[in-house]
Amino acid sequence: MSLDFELRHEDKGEQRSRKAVLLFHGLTGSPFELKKYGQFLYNNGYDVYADCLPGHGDKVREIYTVKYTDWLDFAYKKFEELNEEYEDVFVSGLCLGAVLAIAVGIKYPDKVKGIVSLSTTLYLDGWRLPWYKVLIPVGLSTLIRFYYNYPECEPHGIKNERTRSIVKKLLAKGDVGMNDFPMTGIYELLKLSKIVRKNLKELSTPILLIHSEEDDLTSTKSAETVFNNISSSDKEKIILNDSYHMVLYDNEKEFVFNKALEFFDARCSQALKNEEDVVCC
Amino acid sequence: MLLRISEYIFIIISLLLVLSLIINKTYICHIKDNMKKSDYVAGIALLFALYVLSALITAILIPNIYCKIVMILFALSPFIIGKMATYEKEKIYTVFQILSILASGIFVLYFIL
Repeated sequence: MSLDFELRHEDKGEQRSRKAVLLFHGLTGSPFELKKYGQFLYNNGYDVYADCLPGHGDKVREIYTVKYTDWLDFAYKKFEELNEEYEDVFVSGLCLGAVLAIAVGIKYPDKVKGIVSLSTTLYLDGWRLPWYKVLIPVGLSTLIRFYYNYPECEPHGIKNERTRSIVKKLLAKGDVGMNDFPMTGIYELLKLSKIVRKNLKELSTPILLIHSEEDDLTSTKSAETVFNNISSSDKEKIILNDSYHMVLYDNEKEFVFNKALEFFDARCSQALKNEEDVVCC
Repeated sequence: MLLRISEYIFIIISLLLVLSLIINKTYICHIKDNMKKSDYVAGIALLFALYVLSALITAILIPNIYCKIVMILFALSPFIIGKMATYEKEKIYTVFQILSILASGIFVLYFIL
């Protein structure tokens, strides 16, 4: 079952949109986790694209062999395709997707209109991590990474108990993503994070960082690292107080949706043009 | 005296590590519930860390320069093998890792003690 989705206005007989948002999901996740967010942006005039990242989706075994370079190539290719087609292309993502969105921004600083980075995962240092988290670097750099999948467990990145129980049921059925985090996937995510951290200075694209104070997987250190090291002058950081890692499904999801939309709207070519006209007048 | 103690500790850790890797491959890895095997795998990681540490301490304490170099290579072997390993050839690399740990134990036993 394909979980990819493309929401295009012209497909529904409406006028063709000139602005698009490219969304990336998180590690072991799927575009399902972006569906509500994507639908919200679509309802507000954007064409939205969200595809399964390499190693995710139907062929579960592929997550064990996928490399971070596969994710990067996929993200770059997808962005280039959309950039040919649209006047304004924004990128946004959650967790691994947020790191990829930043990587796209670093590679195409003049082409990406803006980035909304949600729960950026540059470090694995959230409060949910088990007692043996100090041994994770040893596990990742030795053969142990092939022996073990870190189990997806309570609270599943969600503070809202009702949503959590729904996601738990869906995860048990395997409908929305994987039930475990393969260490090999975490290994590749951390390699990607390291490269992105090294190149943050090259990011000059407008960016909105949204991170939860109580993120169970990655602390606010990740968002702060990005915020303090990029060269973008147009940057904003929002810290949420009533959510965990999955900010798109938690208590403050509407706030997150609206902030992202505000950010995109303010940076569209049309909005910038109108602003210039006002200034000229 | 200090060298002798570190050598004994190194041999004990090597043996424990080899045993735990064998048990992991023959029994633990077949357990489906990752929650149940997490403590065991964390234990292997701890043994790897202790193995590296004790190998380095032994390398520092050994007077012979060639033995020092060999011990440092053994200390780095989990990372070198870990870097080279792939998911498809994981079993071969596990055997290689076990042999390397056994060789390090024998090296300490025969050439140093």
